[in-house]
Amino acid sequence: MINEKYIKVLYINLETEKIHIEHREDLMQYLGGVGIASKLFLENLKPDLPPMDAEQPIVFAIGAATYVFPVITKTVAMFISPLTGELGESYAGARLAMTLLMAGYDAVVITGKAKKQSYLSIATNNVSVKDARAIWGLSVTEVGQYIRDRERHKGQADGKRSILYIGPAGENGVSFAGVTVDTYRHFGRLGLGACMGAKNLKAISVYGNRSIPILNHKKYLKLYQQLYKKSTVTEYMAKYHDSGTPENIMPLNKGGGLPTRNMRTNSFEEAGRVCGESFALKNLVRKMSCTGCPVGCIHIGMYRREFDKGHEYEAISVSYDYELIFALGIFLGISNTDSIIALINEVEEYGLDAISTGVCLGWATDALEKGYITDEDTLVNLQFGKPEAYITAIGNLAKGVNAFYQALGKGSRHAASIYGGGEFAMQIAGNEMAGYHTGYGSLVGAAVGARHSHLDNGGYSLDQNNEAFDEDKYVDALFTEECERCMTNSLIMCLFARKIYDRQTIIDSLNALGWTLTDEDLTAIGRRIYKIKLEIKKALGFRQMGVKIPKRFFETPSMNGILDEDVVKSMIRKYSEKTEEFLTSEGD
Amino acid sequence: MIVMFYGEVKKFTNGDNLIKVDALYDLNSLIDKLSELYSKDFHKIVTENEWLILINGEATTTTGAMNTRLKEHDKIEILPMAETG
Amino acid sequence: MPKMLRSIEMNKCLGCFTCMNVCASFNHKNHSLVKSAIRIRTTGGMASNFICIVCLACAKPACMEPCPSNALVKRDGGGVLLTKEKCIGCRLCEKACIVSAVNFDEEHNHPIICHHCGICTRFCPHDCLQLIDSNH
Repeated sequence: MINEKYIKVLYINLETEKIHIEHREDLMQYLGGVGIASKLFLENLKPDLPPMDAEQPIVFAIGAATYVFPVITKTVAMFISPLTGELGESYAGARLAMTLLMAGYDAVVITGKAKKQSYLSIATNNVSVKDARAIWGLSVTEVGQYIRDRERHKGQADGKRSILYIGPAGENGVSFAGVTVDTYRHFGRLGLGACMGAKNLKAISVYGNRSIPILNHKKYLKLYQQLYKKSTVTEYMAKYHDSGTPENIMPLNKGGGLPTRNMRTNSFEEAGRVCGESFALKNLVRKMSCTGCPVGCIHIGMYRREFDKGHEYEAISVSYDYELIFALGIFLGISNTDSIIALINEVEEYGLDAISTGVCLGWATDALEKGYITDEDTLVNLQFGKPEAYITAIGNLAKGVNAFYQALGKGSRHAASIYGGGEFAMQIAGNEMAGYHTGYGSLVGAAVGARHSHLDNGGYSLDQNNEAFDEDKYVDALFTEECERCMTNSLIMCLFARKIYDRQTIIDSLNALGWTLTDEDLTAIGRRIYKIKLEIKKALGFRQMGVKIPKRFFETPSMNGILDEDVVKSMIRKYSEKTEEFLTSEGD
Repeated sequence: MIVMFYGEVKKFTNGDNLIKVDALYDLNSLIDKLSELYSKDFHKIVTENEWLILINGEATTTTGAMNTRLKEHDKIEILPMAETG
Repeated sequence: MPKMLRSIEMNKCLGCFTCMNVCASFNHKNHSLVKSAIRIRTTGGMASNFICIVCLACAKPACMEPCPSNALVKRDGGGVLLTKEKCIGCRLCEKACIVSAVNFDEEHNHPIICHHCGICTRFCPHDCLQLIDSNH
């Protein structure tokens, strides 16, 4: 808590509808965010019970510097991932972190399963479990409307409220069902939506109207101004605001690191038609921010859909980012921006993770063509470049309409284990790949990253840094960056602001809020948190050496050429030995 | 050889998106040459701004990084790095 | 020439809340959404437009009319100025404002009055807020 020497934790048991609050001084050494979330998650985890058991926890946490400095905007969620069977960790922006701060909680630990379909209302002075029977089954857009109307807080809610919700996919337990936050942001990956669905929890509304006195007024204001300037006037963040993350498409395509058509190839001949510039010129209608960030990287794209004869049109708007264009566009061979927006919209309405959905459909398309599955399984003729069938398939997936889609709903690794075609199921350790096939950094990074995400350790950066590849150097760099991000994800800094928040800036920012931390302290905090995460993974049965990487990763060239499987295995082994040693080491 | 520039890289090349240079020994010498043409600290600019250099479409971590030998008809492209998103 | 605050181009608003953030921190020494004289909200969910609710610098301010203790006086350029010591916390000014732009500081028991200082305009990344010459 800002100004306090404790972390305020709200515990909610959905079954008993009882809450209790703890002031945890012992959690201060984990700073906030993923630090406190990891420790709380480990404490409340029941390793001997099944992953979706009602007793298992979901933990949300905000950071040590949430909202009060620019671009420090995220909330972390920790859960057992139904997709990978082990650590689930996901981040979302929008208004959630700010409202949790203003409601007065650093962390929320949710256990138990609600007796009936419910949503949670967390406010500054009240926490209640509410009846959601009427809104169960509704799409993501519809749910938002109803809850906004009900959670008015004496008509004063506007601006001080955040709502997160699941769609039908989460209710149906699709292993990569996501959670939408305030319409345009998400806890996308690893299936938090299914965890909420398993707890009969449709949504959470957070309302906060606290005020926190500023103790070091002059110091704080001076620093705030500097950071605001850095975020807006300088070049650091300009590209995120301009055409946004889709700017990635051009360098990835030129360099041959753009997984296309289920990664049959590493570049897309039509990339120019779906790059950032194309979306900006054809579909961009608005830019938005997460609260507390002046950059405005959320890009809203719109297209007009003709839904019936007689010139019946509707406007479909979605937020689009690089990963969505990759997974629901390039990966499926689709070269039309309107079609990609239509696919994103479908995924949004059902509450699915965009990346896993696209990659799973990519596998299914390949498997259908090769005869591992038939159209009796897929029900529609999936073909690269043809969006209509994919739109139907997304609904089938969310609803689990037959045995095939139920299997696919457990992830591409699972589906391939039943139907075959594992060599081209583009997943690593169960989590579908992100849009980078840049080299040893990105591939090994995904295999060893705590949540098997490119965001864990930035491996794709190593692959592009114009320095010579060296196994040991890369292994060390991935490990160091993983620890570093454990620390920055305790603030919780948006990763786009990495260049603004260097070590000294972090020290100064925390100092203005009453912390006295040194550079060494920050390193120790990162390492301390990473140890907890590794313990969680161990408790959930994860074995690094058990990760098998599908063959196609070694067949399709990366941005740095064909990858040698022996080199990858060697690097994973070295990393595994490093973490084993690290876990048993003293200090931190 | 041809050197091509993309995206925000062009802010440092007076807007040029392409130049032809005589064959140079390796990537280091190319960047030296670009320092002469555009800005005396092109090396630093490349590293600080996190630019990706492709030689005939391939990144350089496995071809010798900045010591990659260049040949007469090589095509070199300098682009902004692909970031997360 | 006295100035007044105006939200000029709200169609460009990013919803970043920096204006609210700085009003509360610079003027009221708090991290807060409630201790801000300016408020940004949607007109119905994030897919709708953002609107700005802030003092419009009336030449004949409705908020000062019901004040029983003369705590509010006319400001040069429109709107009012508050003398906290005279305020009894009755909240009649809050009810009287025609555009609901008067917020209330429940901790210190007085209204939060925008005095058109313009700090929010310096921190709007999209120039949606501007200090313009008052038309009074």
